[in-house]
Amino acid sequence: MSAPPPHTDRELDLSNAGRGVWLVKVPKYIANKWEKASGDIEVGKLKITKNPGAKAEVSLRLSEAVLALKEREEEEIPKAHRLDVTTVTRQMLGVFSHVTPASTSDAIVPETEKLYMEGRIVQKLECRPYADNCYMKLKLESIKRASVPQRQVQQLDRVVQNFKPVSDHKHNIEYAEKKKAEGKKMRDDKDAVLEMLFAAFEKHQYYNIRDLAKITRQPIVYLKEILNEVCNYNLKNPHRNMWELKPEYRHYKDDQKPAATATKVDDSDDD
Amino acid sequence: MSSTAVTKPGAVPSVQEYSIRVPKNSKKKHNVMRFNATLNVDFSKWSQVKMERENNMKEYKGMDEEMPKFGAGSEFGRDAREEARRKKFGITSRKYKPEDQPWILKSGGKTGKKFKGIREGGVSENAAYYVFTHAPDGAIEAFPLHEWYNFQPIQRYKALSAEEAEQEFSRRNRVMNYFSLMMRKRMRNDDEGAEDDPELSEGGKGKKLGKKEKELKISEMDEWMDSDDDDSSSDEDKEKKNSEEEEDDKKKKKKAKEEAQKKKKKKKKGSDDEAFEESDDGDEEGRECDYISDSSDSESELEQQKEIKSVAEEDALRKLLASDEDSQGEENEEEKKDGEDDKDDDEDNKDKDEKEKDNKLNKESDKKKDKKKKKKQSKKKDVKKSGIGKDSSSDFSSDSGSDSDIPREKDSKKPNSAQSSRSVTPVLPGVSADCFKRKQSGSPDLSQSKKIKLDNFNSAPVTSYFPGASESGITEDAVRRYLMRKPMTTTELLQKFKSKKTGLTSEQLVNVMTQILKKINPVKQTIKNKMYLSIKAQHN
Repeated sequence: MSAPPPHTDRELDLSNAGRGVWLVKVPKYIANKWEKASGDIEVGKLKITKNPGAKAEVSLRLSEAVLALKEREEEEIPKAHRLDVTTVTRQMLGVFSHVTPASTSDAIVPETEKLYMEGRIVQKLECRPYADNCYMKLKLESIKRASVPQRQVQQLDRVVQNFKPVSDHKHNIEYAEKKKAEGKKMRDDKDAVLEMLFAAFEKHQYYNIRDLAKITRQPIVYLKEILNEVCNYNLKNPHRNMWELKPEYRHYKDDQKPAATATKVDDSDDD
Repeated sequence: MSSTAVTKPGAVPSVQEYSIRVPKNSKKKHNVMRFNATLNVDFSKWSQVKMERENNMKEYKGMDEEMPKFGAGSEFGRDAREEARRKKFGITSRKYKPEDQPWILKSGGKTGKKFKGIREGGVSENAAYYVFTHAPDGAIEAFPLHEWYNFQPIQRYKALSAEEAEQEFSRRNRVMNYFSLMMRKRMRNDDEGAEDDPELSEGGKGKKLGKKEKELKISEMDEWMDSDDDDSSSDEDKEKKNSEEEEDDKKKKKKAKEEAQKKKKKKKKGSDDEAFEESDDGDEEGRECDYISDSSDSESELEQQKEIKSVAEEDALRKLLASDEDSQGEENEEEKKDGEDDKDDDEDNKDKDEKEKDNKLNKESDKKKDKKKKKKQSKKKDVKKSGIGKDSSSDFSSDSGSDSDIPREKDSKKPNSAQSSRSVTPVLPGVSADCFKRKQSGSPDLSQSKKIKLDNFNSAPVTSYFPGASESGITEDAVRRYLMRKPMTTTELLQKFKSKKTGLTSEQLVNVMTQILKKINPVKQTIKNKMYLSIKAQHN
């Protein structure tokens, strides 16, 4: 991940902080349409009618272009909606935007995350459809869809295929063959084994015997003999059942404290 | 129905129309930040605001992952093994996503407020939210809102831990200054080198100063009020007591008749009392009371309670439940009661001289107290009576008279109550045992039996009357009581009674004692060449 560290604090751009914005709740079907619409077309018209002495009426009318955006088998959606206006009470709602750099950006100057304050929500509008035929049909369809059970009964016309039991699975056979090809573990020269061991212990301090056997490819009995000479076996819990070099053999760069943060090491269960 | 606004033939409908666009910018995501109104957040007044994701890496990883990957201290194949181990337990670890962490918002620079914004789910489940803003060209731009974050202030001061709070609470009236308290705490923390943000002390000062003064005043007031309360209540108590005494003196003779009435009265008073002062600890401090507890009084009280209630069943049941503990406790109480005597006993009669001195002292002090006590005794009686109604014994058992009063009391005009107070105790275990038995046999006339018992108590000293015994306080019951408690030698026994104001010479005492012992016929056993006398509890 080449992205900049996520936990650095960023300045919140407050140039728009004082701006009042509207929070509009729209039905999902409108939101779907709007999502599909491209950014430059008009998706609808907002009409504010102010009658003196009465509350202002706000209505939303979707554009033809948006209504035309539909796939097959999709219902007509109502065109006009009423917007109910309410004020925000008991809470302070703000809107901020978060710009994340595109992960595939190959710009020379790497984009950084940016935060903008987009304004304060001054009014809440709730988009309500007029209960006309179109809307009712839409609802009817959605109810029908919802009432269809997710699982359905299917009749089978033939026997479902079952698998015969196998005495020896394929990967077992493969594994056995591989082992055979490797042959028996041969006792290597002791110096060579020691070399391998020291190399391994350079990388890590603690090893399980099985891992060492895998690395050095020596029989465990033989390996143990050697290990007893140069290594200590840990019986206690941080690094239990693990081998480490005897102090006189080890020279780690910063042999401060062999990380005493204890964890349960149980190694008898895996592989 | 549609597009009514335009065609409406209204008066002067001013119609404004805006076209809405949905600009596409996949990188820019709009989110809502929600603050509670009480926080008084004003975006336009924000100056320097920084936001960051909370770093929960540590928590995600857990504490045990602080191991080197290579070199010293590292294990070979540790990660894989851990993973396998987790999988075995059915734990599939999810990747840590920094973009899912809460927001931390800091406003007003270093010393400003801090908020934590936690994502809220389910807001846009059934509907979509858009934010409408004005574009420069007059159109409206709609941006979908993705997430809702609920921002809450982060406490920038440290609260006391449970233990610290307890400690401070224990000296709540002494601590005048809340501020100094917190200051001290902070100093302590500084010593420990804890991460104490310096902005806390700077930023919080302004606010805290105001708060401090207020706090200070309050606490002082509290103290005054407390003390006032105490004083007045104790004064009142005294007054009450005095009046009660007077009442007592006057009415002593007609007492029997008026008792019931009086009780009622007292009860009322008691209830008033209760209403007036909440029983705080320390409220009792003002009153004078003896700490040498005399169980007998409380017992007598119990007895009286029984009489009042005349429901022996309940008591018996209680006894049945706790007969053992009761007798045990009684023993303890009694031991406490004449603690001085016991102390002496323990010294095994070696320091007789000293003891006698002690006794003399006791006597003297008793004499001194005598007048007071007499008064108090009467007071107590009243208190007891008032106490009968509400709670049985615990409160008043503490301020009961010492033993030496009893004979005197007996001489005075209330032999009955005194006797009961004296004599009830030793036999009580027996009673309880008896009750137990009876309960088991299931006889219904428990109350009757109790009455018989009571009669027994009263008649006991009469039947076993020895010359000079009753006046001196040496009764069969007293002896029984001592012997029941623990085995003791005759000398010890005598010592017990010597320590009291018997007014008898030692020969007389011995005489009386031998008579009583003959009557009781206690179990004798010799330990270390000394004959110890004892009675079984059931021995009755």
